[in-house]
Amino acid sequence: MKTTIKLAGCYHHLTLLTFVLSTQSVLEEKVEQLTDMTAKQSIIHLNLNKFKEYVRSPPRDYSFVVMFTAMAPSRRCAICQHVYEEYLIVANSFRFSPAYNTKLFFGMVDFDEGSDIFQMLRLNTAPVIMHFPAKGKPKPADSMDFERAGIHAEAIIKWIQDRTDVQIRVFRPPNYSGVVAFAMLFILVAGFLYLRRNNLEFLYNKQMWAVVALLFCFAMVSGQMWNQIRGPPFFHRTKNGPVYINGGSHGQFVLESYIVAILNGAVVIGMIMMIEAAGGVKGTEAQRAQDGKRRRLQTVVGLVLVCVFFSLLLSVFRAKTQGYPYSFLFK
Amino acid sequence: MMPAMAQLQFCVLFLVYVATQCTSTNVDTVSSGINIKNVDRTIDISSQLVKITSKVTLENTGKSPVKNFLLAVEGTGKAKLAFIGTKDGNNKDLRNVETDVKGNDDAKFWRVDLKESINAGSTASVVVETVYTKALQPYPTSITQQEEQLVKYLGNLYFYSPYPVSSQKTNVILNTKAVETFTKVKPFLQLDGSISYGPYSNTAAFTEKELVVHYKNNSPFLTVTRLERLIEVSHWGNIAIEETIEVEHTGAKLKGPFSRYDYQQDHHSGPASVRSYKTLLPASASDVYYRDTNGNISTSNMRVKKDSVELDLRPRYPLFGGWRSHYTLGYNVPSYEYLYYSGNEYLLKMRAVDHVFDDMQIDELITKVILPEGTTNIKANFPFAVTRLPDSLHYTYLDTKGRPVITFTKTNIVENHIQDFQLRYSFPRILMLQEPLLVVGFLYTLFLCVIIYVRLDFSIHKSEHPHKD
Amino acid sequence: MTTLAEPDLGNGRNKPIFNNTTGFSTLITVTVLLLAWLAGFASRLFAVIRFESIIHEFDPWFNYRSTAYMVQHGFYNFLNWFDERAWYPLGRIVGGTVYPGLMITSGSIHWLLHALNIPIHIRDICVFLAPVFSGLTAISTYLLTAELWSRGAGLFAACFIAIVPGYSSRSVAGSYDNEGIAIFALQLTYFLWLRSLKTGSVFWSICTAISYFYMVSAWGGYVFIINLIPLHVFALLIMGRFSQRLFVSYSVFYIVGLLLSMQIPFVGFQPIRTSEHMAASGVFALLMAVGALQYLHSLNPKGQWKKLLIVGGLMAAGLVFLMVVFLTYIGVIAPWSGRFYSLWDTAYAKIHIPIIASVSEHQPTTWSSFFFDLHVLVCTFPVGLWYCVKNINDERVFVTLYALSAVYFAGVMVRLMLTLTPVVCVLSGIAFSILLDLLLRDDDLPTAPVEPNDKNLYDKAGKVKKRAPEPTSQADFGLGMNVRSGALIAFMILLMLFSVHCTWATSNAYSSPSIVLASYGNDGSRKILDDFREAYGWLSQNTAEDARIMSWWDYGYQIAGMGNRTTLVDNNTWNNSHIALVGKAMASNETAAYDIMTMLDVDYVLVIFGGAIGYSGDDINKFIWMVRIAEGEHPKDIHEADYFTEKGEYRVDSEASKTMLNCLMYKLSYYRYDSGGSPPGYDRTRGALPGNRGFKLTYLEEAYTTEHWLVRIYRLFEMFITSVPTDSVVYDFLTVLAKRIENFMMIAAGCGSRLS
Repeated sequence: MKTTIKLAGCYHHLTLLTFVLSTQSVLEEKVEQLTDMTAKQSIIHLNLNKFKEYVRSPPRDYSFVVMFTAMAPSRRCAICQHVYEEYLIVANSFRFSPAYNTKLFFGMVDFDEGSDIFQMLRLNTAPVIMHFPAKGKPKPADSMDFERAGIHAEAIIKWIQDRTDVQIRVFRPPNYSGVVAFAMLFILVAGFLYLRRNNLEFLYNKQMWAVVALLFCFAMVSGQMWNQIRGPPFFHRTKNGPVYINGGSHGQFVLESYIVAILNGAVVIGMIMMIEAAGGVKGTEAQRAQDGKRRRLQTVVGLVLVCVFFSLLLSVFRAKTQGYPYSFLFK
Repeated sequence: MMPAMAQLQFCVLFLVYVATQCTSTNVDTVSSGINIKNVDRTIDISSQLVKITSKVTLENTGKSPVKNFLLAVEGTGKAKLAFIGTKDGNNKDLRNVETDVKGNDDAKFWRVDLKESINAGSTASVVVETVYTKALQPYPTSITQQEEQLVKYLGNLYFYSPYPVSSQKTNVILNTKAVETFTKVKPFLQLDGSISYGPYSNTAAFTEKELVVHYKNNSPFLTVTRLERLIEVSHWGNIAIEETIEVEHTGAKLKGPFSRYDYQQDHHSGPASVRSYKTLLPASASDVYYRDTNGNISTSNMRVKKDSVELDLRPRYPLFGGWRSHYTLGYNVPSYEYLYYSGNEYLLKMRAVDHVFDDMQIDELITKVILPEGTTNIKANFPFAVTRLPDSLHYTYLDTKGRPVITFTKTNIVENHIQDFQLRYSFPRILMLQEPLLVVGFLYTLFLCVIIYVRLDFSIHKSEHPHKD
Repeated sequence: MTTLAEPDLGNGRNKPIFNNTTGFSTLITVTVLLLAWLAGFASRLFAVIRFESIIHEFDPWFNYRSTAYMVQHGFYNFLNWFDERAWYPLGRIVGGTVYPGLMITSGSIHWLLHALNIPIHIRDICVFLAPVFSGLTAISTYLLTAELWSRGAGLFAACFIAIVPGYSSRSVAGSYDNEGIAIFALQLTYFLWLRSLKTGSVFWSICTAISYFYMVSAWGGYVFIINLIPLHVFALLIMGRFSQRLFVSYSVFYIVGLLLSMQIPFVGFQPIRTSEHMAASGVFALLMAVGALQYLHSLNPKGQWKKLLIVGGLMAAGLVFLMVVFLTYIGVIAPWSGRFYSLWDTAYAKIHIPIIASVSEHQPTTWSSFFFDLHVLVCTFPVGLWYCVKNINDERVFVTLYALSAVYFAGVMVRLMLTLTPVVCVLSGIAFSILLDLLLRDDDLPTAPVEPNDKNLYDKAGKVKKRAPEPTSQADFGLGMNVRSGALIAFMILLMLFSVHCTWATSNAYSSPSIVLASYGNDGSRKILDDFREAYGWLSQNTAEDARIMSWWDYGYQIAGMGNRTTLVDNNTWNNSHIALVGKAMASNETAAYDIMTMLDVDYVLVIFGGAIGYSGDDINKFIWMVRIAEGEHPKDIHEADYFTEKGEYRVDSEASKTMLNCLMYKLSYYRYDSGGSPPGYDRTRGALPGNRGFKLTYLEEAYTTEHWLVRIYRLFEMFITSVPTDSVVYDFLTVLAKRIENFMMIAAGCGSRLS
């Protein structure tokens, strides 16, 4: 890195000395080209020469934000896609914003087009968003770090604003997907009801409603909302096999929450079985007539379900909570 | 402390005096027939108090036997005087009465009545003990955390008396060699920890000569600015005592920052600061609590000795010059040690003020005594002059017409004031049944109500209309 | 208590156990409820027994302070109280910005006791208020469940809620907060609502309104009621369960409740001006419309009215909806407040309101904390829900909606676990009572479902063995005796596990006063770290009466409550910009900070520093939130990135960024800090050696530092009076004052302050 920088530095001096007259014109035409490139497409796709010309080589009075990524499906870079979308939003909202000026340009380099650029910059990860200031070399802080800031357009804009005092208001293309989905659902339901209009009996089917309600409860109680907000991994891969249960009580994996939901469900089913076997709530159900043998069996099964799965639940909880003393059946 | 008998006698005498005092102010004249043969004075200024003990040998140079003589305190000192006591040769208390002398208005006089009169030509020796508060000025008035505390004592080089003194010696006790300056009037001698003056011969009456000692004094300069002592007497065998105490460090003020680091590193840091002090409670004191407005102060420990309970109290924070602290200390004592009765007549004997810390000085004391409900014709005897505040009523658990509260206050108090006061009252013992009966009656009515309720309820819900499911 | 005596014929499924005399069953009921009360009270006393009778945490200190103020100065002065000791220099209109229910409750208890010559200190009343109310909550839960299902179920539910951690977490002795009494009000309101819906009597619905009024005066969570009850009504309308009883009870409740709720100064006109309350009025209008149509229908029962009814109903609904939307659009009705909105759009708070996001109670809930707070109930309450839906009626529609909405909210915010817990207890109570009732049906033991209750209050393992063989005799038909007893034993064990879990959770997780810390030596010896009170005591005694103390907002209430001094910001975080100003002062270097501090004329600065004893909740660990909040208001001066290392790590040692090493917070934390572990100056919390040491302070001096360095107080030097351009001061106060109005919406009902 150091050497290249030095070279660039000397080169800089040379240009200043020799083409001191032409500099101005060169700069202008560069800005010219960049501007209409941007007009075509708010993110400029760069290859090696373009990169050298516009980003690396002076004269420059504009700062350049470049995303290094690998969009090719063969690369199987899932996050690149997300970052690209956010980045595109940023570029667009800058281009169509009143604050638009020729002091800032957005570019991107795909690994498959400009792998040599990656080597030149010693980059071996993607995606990376780097900022090349108008003057001077990019400092380490000039490459955005997704771990901390996140990949949201807002974050990128904030970062850009820190680097180059350009204020951008994020303008997301309005997202109709939710509305559309809702409308679709509504239409489906309405249509369904319309088709079944002559017998709407099923609406009075309490069984169905009960099942729906229970499923909702299980989903919530097993922390699906947490998953949805925090977006944890499905499960954790370690060198010695996958881990399904998060060690700490403040975190959980998606799979873990499913397991918990199933355990809860099993306990509930067991209990309901017992109640039905013992004669149900009304006391007028079929079991009354049935022989004791089958009811006994059902009760026992239900009891086993309850005990076993609850103690499983307890042991999972125990594994997560440090110093939790109690357990049932299993350690 | 003096033996109980003498003490009692003392009190009684004193109170008789107090009674007379308020009606008539008595005036004396300095009799010329008395000459002080020798005075041996000890001025102890090693603590925050100034304790002067003078052995006075009186000589009757007149014709007639002398029954009493006068003590004087110079005008400069009389405001700071907290206590004056006199004993005769064999350590019996002598009665002393405040009085006036024509012509000397700035000074303050006491007439001491001797047990047996001094015949002409013979001598008698008397021990006079005086304690002054706030007589030591910190100088400089503010110091940093690391500095030592220097104080100045201004006193009288000679024994101040209305009679001529033939010869006198004075010994000033400092407990330190670090003396900046002190009055040098030959003959004097500075030993380590003390300076002795004299003997000086033939000083005239009312002679004053300034005695200045400027020396190091790191002993705790703690002043109890206000002490409220609440004594709640219960005839069920318990007396609860609660003291609300405001303490201030009246030594040299802390200048600049307080550094916890320095304070932790070397224990000599903050020599003038007070980390903790000892409070002595009666030996029978039980369930002691020590708290302030924010709850318990968890930094204290208690040692039970055979004649007292010793509390080692640490304020929440060390006290530097000018810092204040505030806390409440409470405990119970069994009543049989302090409460005597015959029939319906009761006698309560308790300390008007109790020990807070050694060499304590209390600016203002307020003592309240809460007597059981229904006590009548209360008579109070106090060991020293106090101002009695109007009685009030106090309501607490299961009270109907309130408990009488006796309140009295006194300013400028030192350890010598730790003496008993007496409270005589009559209380019909049958009233002890009042509170249990109240409880019983209350419960009875409660159950009665419940019973009636249930019955009512039974009758109500027959008429309740059923509602659909 | 007398209502217990009346058996509700309403849904009295024939319980053999209650077939005998009412007196007997009443006796049992009363006994069990009293035991529940007792157990609930006792299980909340861990903190008092371990430490002392003291107010906990942060918000309770404000509640305590204002209660003391009310007791001292009377109710009207309290309502008009302008507290100049908070939010210096703005002050705070306390009377208009609190829910006074809590203070009034304990204040009137205090008044009553003193009228009876029982001189109990107001502090003790405040400390023990929540445990006492837990008993009342148990009773009201019993009533609610009895309305819903049966009295046996009610007893179960009462016993559950008496000890369940999800509720005791907010109601241990000393946690003197709104939730403590609010849950009681919540349950009571729901019970009365169901009762009024059943009877359709105006009396009960007015009782509902009054109880709702109490709830409004007690807690911001009343919004839950005023949305849930209309939802219930709406659902009933859709299900075609419209009835005169519904009509009467809801309309009465709505009108009276609305009028009453607007009497609370803090609520004021919100019930008719904000979207949170619009559902209620919308449903009210709808109900009126449907009622009218019903009337028309009743004029001519046969014929075409039915179609009109449906169409008209739908149209009315649509009309009401559009009306509300329109009003909101033209701004007559305020849109949802961020706090409320963040319940639906879960990402909202993180982006827009960092001060909400920064509070750990506002994080979503993992399954383990569900289990921790509810234990066995978490997998039994669906059973109750199942049977409520299976044999539905008007009340059970309500409890179903209650359960579903509450479980959703609890999933979004840990804090709202509190609203889930009661309904979970109700439903599990139903589930258990159904099961045990069936299992014990053959042997007619009146006490059967009661015994397990006081078993799970205090687990007497002995009793199980005694109870086991009791289902004797005609085992030929039905489940055999063995199966019964086996099942019974199993469920007794479950209940016992539940009770021990509750005790464990309450004692270990929820019973630390957090202003007194205890550290345990290897030999089990306990050492009390009382630094907070040491510092506050020092402040109260040794600073000027009107000294202004600057600290992070977490400690505002405690400084005001224990130190009795003026603070700049406190836990009622109504003014973001003021907080941001303090954050900026903490985050900028000494000189810049000094300008801000002189502008706010600060006398002392108080920071919490846990490095010496390894206390992790200290200011350096919270510091990044100060930076974020400051950056939100002053993006020019503060950049979060500057406080991280190049690698984006947050650290304090020599690697740390220059800005970090020179900001005020850092300097005040580590000034002359050379003790602690080995090597000297080692920070145990961060596990690092501070990067910037041996520096001097230019504008401040150490005024006091507590014994374990936990609290450090600094005094500003008077001598450097730098000339602050006055216009900037004026400008800043104007903005602050402008913010004040718009920020009233987001007054924190009670931010806790541990950071995630």
